[in-house]
Formats: sequence, structure tokens, C-alpha cells
Amino acid sequence: MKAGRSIDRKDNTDLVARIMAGDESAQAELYERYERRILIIIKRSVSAGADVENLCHETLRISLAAIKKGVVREPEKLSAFIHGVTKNVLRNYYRKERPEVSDDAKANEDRVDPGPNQEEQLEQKEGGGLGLKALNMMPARYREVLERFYILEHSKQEICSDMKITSKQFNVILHRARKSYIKLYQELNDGEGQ
Amino acid sequence: MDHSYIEKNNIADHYLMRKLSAEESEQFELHFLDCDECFKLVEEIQEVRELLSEIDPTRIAGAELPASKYSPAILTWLIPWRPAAVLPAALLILALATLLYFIIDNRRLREELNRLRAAQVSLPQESAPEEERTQPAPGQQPAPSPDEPTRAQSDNPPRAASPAPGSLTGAGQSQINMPIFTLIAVRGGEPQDNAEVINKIEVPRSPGWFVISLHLEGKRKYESYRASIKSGDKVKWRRSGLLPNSYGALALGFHSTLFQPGDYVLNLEGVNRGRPEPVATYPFRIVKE
Repeated sequence: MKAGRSIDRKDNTDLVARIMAGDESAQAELYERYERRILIIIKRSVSAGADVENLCHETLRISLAAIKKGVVREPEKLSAFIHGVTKNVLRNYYRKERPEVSDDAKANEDRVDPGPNQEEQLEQKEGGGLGLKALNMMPARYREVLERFYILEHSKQEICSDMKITSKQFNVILHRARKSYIKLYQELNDGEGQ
Repeated sequence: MDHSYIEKNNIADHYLMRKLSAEESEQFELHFLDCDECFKLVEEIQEVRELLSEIDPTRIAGAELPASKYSPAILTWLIPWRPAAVLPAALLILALATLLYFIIDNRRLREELNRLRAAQVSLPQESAPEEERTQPAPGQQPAPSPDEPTRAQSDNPPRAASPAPGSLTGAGQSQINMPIFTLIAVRGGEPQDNAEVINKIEVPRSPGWFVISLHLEGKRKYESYRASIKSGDKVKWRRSGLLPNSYGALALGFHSTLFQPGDYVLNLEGVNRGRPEPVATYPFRIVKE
């Protein structure tokens, strides 16, 4: 296993064995371990919020059923198996399921996600509300990197050249800027709530 | 795919920005499904991107950083500082246009020069007799008058007029007062002694052109003529396919460097249906002053 990995093969083998043995805590552990990771993969491909949740649950349901049935022949490669299931679910979603459920999904989306309320609409009109406020509160260097890299999607090379920084310095600034931004946003959000 | 590569190349950022290839994306997904550190990094980036996505990009364009850095590439051509680049671009275009003009003009002038050179080669047969007539060289036979048929206005200039090897003649040199020698034919090409030199050609020691004129009037007509010049048994010059000019004369131009002082014999033959017949023999002596 390569450095930095926190789930080893033994973990996976044990988890699969426990699920096959009917251990309910193992099933919960499977969900806890993979749900958010699967969500990232699906979110990247599917924009509709309701569909993302449904597809994630579908992936976990199929994976769990397969493990119970003993379909997973190499338990140590459980992550690869789940990744494969995720991709299949997404493929099915785009190939056949989506057209069939498109009307229902639309209706469901309207029901589940009614869109931004008046306050949110006002925030959006103001150009991002707290997000922009937090950004403007950041040190210029951090702000510049965040704005250019994530919003304007300038290349790293271009930004480094303009700011006269190395690639390594860029990575450090970007890392600190992200942490700082999330913290500032949370502080502002907490302040608004009080 | 390992951590150092992922961190160094901002793989997590590029994954969420959809800037990775399908293969790279798949590799990274397989990695963060097992890797807590990368999974947390992706979540953090995703959160920041979601928060920033709420911001209207036009609201950040007025920030403290230079406008050019915040404008899409296409807009950078429209913002005010760009006109400064218009002048150098215009000058470059002007310079290229001027260069092109000179190239075309140079080609035109070269063609004109070649045309003039070609015209100058034929000039001696046309202008020299006049000069010879007005200023006859001492010791030379008088040049024929304009009324006489020896005036060389050949439609087929003798090929001998082309520059001899090593000669100084060229398109840039004028052919002024070029001497013309009208040779008198003898029977049998009998040798000339010093007392009876029939055709004496005096040429300056400095290189130059002269013309030998052969009168054909009264002689039988041939389809063409061929001529050769011998020095003893050695042929110094030979040419065939010669045609007389409109005055019934053959005007042959020679460069003085072709001849050393001494006696020569010019044999002229007429050719009908490919058969040569002797027409006349012209012994002459070259004397260099």
C-alpha cells in the first residue's frame, strides 16, 4: 500500500467477512467509510442534487448486496469493486434510467429542491453574500490565488509567473488560503446566525 | 498515483475542475476511495469551490489586482492598454509591405537589366559602323558609307560577337568607335608577303572589339554560309549557319584577345541543301599597335 492510505487490505477483507457473516455494524461501517467518497465521484458527474443522493444510495445498496452474496472475489480490493459499481450506476443513469425517469425526476427535483429562498436570492444578487465577504476579508495573496485558481481558472503556471512564486510556494499558499477561507466563512456564518 | 505526485501536481484540484483525463480521474478516484488524507483534501477543495461558486465573477474583477489578470483572454485584447501594441504591429506590417515592394521592384529591374544587356550585345553591329564612318582609324580601310551594303544591320548578328573567354567586355561596357574592317577576297588564299598585305587589321593592344565585314554582293546566293579562320593549319574560329544582313554583307564581330599578331586566313563557304561550296578566301594580318 502506498504512503498516505488509511484503509489497508486487511481492513477491507475483515469488513467483507463481517458483512457476509451478517454483522450489522459492518454494514454501517461500509456506509460510513464509502458514502461521502462515492458522493464526490457522483457529484462530479451529476449536477441534480436529488439524483446524486439517490445514485449514491443505489451504489451502496448494490455493493452491499453483492458482498452478502459473496460476489466480491477479492475482498482486499473492495474499494476497486465499489468504484466499479459506482461507474456502472452512473453509466446506467446516463444510458437508460435518466430518460425514463426524467419527468419524474424533474417533478421530484421541484418538490425536493424548491430553489433559493428570498434571502438566498438576495445574497446571490449581491454577488455571493458571505462567500464574497469572506473572500474580501482574506489577505491579498490568499485571495488572489483563490480567485484566480478556482473562480477564473487561471493556470498554476500563469499565476506563479504573475505572482513571482514557485510551484511549491503556490501549493502552500493555496492550502493555507483554503483553510483560512473556510474558517472565515464559518465565522461569518456563525455571526449571522447569532 | 501517490501523494507526492498528487500534491505536486494539484491532482485533487484538477480532478474537481474536470481538468484530468478520464484515465487520470479514474486512478485518482481509486486512490482517494482508500486514502483518508486525499479524501479530506478533495472534500475541502469541494467545499471551497462550492462557496466560491456563489460569487459573481464580475464582483471580483474590480479587486486590487491588475485588471488584465482577471479578464478572460479575449477581453485582454480589448482593454485599454492594448492599443499600445497597435503601433508596433502597424509598423511591422508597413515594413513587410515595403520589403515586398522592393523585392518585386528588384525583380522588375533585373528583368529590365537583362533586357538591356541582351540589346547591348547586338549594339555593335548597329552602332559601330556609324562611329567608324565618322572617325576612321588611321591605317584602316575606310568604313563603308551608309549607302553601301557593308553597313551591318544584320537580323542575325554573328555569334562571334559574344564575349571571348577572359575578355573584358560586358554589358556595362560601351562599344564606341568599334573598328570595322572590310576584307577583300583573294583567289586560292595565296600567302601575303610584307610588301603586299591586302587585308591588314590593326587593333589596339588593349582588349577590344572589332568587326570584319565580308561583302557578298555579286556572289552566288546560298541558303547559309559558314566561315572559319585558320592560323597556319590550326583552326582558330569556326561558325556555320551565317546569314547575310539586309545589305548583303556578313558582319562578324571578334574580340581582339582571340588573335595574336600574325597572318590568318578566313575561308567562307556557301551551303545549299547541306552541301558546302567555297565562296571566297580572305587572308588578313593582325597587327597590334
